[in-house]
Amino acid sequence: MDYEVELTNVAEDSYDRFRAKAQTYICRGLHNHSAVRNFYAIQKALDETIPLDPLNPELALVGHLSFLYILPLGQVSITYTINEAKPAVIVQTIARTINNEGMRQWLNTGIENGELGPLLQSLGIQPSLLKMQVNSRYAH
Amino acid sequence: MAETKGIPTIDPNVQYVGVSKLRTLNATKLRSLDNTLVIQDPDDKPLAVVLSYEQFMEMQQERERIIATLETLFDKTEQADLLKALQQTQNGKTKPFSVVRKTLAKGSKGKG
Repeated sequence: MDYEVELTNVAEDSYDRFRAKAQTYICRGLHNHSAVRNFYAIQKALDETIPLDPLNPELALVGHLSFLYILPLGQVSITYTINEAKPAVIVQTIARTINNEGMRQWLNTGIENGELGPLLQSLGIQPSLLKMQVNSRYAH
Repeated sequence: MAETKGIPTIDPNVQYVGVSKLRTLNATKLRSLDNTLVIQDPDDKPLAVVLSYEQFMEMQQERERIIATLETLFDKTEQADLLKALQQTQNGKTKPFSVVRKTLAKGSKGKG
């Protein structure tokens, strides 16, 4: 079943910005510029990938935010929600992919040492390793 | 570390086995491995964990999704845009992509 794709005003503005930027390079014949490639990737996702398979569990966030899906397209990401009643995909944002290595490292460490445990809990997230029950005598 | 006081919790997917169990594991057995094996020494001290490749990949993917969730929350720009967009969704301020594309192709842009 194909889902209709709708854009919020925020997503529409972003789409327009990516389109306009790509257009300037297309006019100069630079079809391989990253701005053009990004725009084509967005087009393809909105035309093909998202309407055909929006409920891909690999794209869903977790916990209380599991109603949000993020489709990574290299330098760009599309965040969307699903309205099953229509059925439609609502594109919330189209933005540059968050690429903050320092933050990723901090988050990974925080999850491993338990520092982010309370935050994860408040977000309804329980990593599977923490779900695993271990006999107390093994807890060194 | 997860621990329940009073009634102990047993995870049926985790099996505690001795080192000798490793010697019985061949490719076929590893391929059909359903449980997580905790390999212990003779004093019951855990030494290693054996789990299927698929299970490991699932855990890795779960970690990626948790990181993506937290990154979305911590990135101020993304957070602000997302909140605004969700508000617009709630207020019905969305437009079919086909309409957006047609409008932009004509060179004019009307907001819904």
